[in-house]
Amino acid sequence: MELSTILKSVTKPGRYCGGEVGQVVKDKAGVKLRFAFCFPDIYEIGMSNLGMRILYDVLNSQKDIWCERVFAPWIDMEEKMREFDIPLTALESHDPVRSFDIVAFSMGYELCYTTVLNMLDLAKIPLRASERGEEFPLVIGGGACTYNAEPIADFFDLFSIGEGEEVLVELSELYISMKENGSYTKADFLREASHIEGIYVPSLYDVEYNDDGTLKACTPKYDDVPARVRKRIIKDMDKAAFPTDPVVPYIETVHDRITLEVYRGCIRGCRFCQAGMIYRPVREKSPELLCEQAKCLYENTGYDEISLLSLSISDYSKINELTDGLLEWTDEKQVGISLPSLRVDSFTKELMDKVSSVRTGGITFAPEAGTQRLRDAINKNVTEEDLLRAVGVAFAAGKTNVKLYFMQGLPTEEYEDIAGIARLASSVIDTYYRTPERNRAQKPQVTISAACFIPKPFTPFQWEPQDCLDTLREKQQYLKSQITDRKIKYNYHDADVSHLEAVFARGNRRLSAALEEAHRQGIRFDSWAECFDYNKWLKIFDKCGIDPAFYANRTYGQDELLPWEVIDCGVSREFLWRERCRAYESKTTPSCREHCSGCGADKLGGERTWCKNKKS
Amino acid sequence: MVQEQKIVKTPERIPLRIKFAKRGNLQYISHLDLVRNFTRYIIRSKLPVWYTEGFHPIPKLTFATSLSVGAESECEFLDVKLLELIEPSVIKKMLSDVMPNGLEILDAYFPNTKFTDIATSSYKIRIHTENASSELCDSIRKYVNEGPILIVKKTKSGEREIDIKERISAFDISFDNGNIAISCTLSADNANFLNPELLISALKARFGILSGDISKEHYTILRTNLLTSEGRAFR
Repeated sequence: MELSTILKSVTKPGRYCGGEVGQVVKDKAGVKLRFAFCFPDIYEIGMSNLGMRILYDVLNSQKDIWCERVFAPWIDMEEKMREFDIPLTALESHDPVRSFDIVAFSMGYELCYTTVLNMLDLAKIPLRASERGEEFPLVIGGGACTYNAEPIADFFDLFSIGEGEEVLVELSELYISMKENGSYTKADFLREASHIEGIYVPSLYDVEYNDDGTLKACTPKYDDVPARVRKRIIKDMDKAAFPTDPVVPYIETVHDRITLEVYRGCIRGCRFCQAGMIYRPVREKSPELLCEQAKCLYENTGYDEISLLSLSISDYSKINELTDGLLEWTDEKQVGISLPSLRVDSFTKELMDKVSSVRTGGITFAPEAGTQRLRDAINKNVTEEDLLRAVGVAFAAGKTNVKLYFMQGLPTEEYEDIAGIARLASSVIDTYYRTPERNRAQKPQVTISAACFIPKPFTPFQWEPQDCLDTLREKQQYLKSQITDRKIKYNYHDADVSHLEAVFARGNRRLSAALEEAHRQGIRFDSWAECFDYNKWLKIFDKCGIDPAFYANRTYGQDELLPWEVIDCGVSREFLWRERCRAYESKTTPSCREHCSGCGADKLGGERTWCKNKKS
Repeated sequence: MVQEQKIVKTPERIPLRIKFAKRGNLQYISHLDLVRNFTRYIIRSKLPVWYTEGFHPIPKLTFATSLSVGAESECEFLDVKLLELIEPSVIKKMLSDVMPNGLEILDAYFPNTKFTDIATSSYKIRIHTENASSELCDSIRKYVNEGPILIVKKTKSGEREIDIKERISAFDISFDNGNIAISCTLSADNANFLNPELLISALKARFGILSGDISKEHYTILRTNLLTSEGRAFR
């Protein structure tokens, strides 16, 4: 059965053919380590992932390593693969993933776990680490989920915590040297690897539980294994590897543009946000380097839009130098600049004029909460004035569509906060009518998009319960009832997906039984509406004797040992608890730029960071 | 890179035609994806071409025909307008240097015909089926030569049955090495364009072949030529 025959019988065969411009093909006999980089979602989603792009480039720059890409086949392709007994293969060589040395999964969100297991199954690799003998590849994991990898710990040989550019090379070098000098066995390798900073080997820890189900202890089995694994960071972002000749997909992906990573971390400390905490300390790249990289990327790809990627782009200290430097050539070459993640309080007319993404289409802001009281509690330091001023600028420039992101179910939330969301949207409509230069040819439209709050590890809200499903649904209906203006649209998704996410976000190793059972029942692609089945999950939890509310809806104790505390993300538990208490007092905390609040991440070092503000 | 003495700046926009083959991995991408990708290749080649006007200017590309996903072609044409006169051999190199495997630049030249001169397109179709036999080929040949060949066409207002026989100007079929080999010439002008996939679905319906088990039956399509109404190769 030839691949080409199968490809012509599935949708979007361009996902599976490979051969794209920018792909790296090496002679497999000439390398010492074959690395299969797996993204647990379909091609179009994975190819937009910057982390994968960076690590693909870093690993392939090593002459002894060949890194190839693997994506999850969509359900129609999976059906054909199972029917004709075709194993999961890598895109560049079309060789079976089973034959590689290291199989790595990049996991950004918890709902990808069943897809990870499905890919292992399609690759014909046993799911549990304990079931894999020496003849199978090593299975390793990275990405944001590794900050609490406990629910999937039983399936992986090791995790890489934090930024992988250096540590994956070190890990690979260790692997190659042990293979070459004959000292390699999987157990010996994992023991050695546990000594590398940032590498967490779950099988080297004993996990004990209290009678009430909370974690009693997570203890290293040997003295040379660290009690806590500290994440890795790239200290100097200017010296960090950054691909300027990436693989360019043939088919349309989520982001068909140049993605330029501007800086890592965030100074704001919004209390619900995990990314803002786990990427600390803030480390910026120089504007000159960024302009150079942008130019190279343009010449190598031909994309006509540059997206400046960061957690909060207007907080980049050199944003004007960067945009001015880019505009020197982008206008002439018809290349647009896009600034996603723009804060409300920094949206000005001059920024609008510079940036094409705001010249076309609608405009998006994220107030997150409907009242100042709740915005203060979550530390989203943005006022109603800021928002109305920003939308005023947009309306004066001719825009009529505004999208506002909110969250529901936040800690300390009351029904008046939810009503506040509707009120805020109305104020935005009022601002439109009060703007003399507004575009009168079209009616204004405000779209409210409200997600459900999910407590995440290493945030001040990590101890907080998620509202139970009925409450979340009630709150959604309540907000709906508060909106009477036809010019305001309200988008929301069923809260059941968020509930599942919360279960795994704060889960422990006992959840692996549920994941395995879910896989056995054919569950994958949980983040896709056509595949997600909440009732199936409830039955699975029941069958495995697991109470999902224990993980999602329980308030974790102040003195409780949290399953993810085997990891050290830089930010201290004391800081997180302090911030949690301030939330309950509706007190805000200033940004790192204004005042250091002692989160602890400064101990990791870093260049071009705000941590120098710390008073010693 | 372009050599200085070969560029002559002129105020007009100079029509340039590019002939290319779309094979290998490129057969799996749709026409729209091809347009998007080719736009990027033109930018990367640094060929100075005219851009569209309006809010989001991009290089203006006009393709002669489109091709279904899964079909290969040795005969695709694309027109652009150059802003500067450059020697064709240099253009060919500038483009070839940035093309992926599967897209081969066959020729670059200044045309004196229009895409509206295209009347028909010839294809080579190979059908692999367990029921293949010379008898089956004879039956198919008779069916196509006699007609009518009815297919159901979906339109905006519903469905219509149309006879595609008059859109087939040549049809040859033989039993070759266990496969059915077809050479045919189908209408390719805008009003009566006949996609070879439609011919295949007519044969599917009439003869029960290509029923869906791809391990036993599948087919390939290759566009070999575009022809004018006089039957000459389009250039």
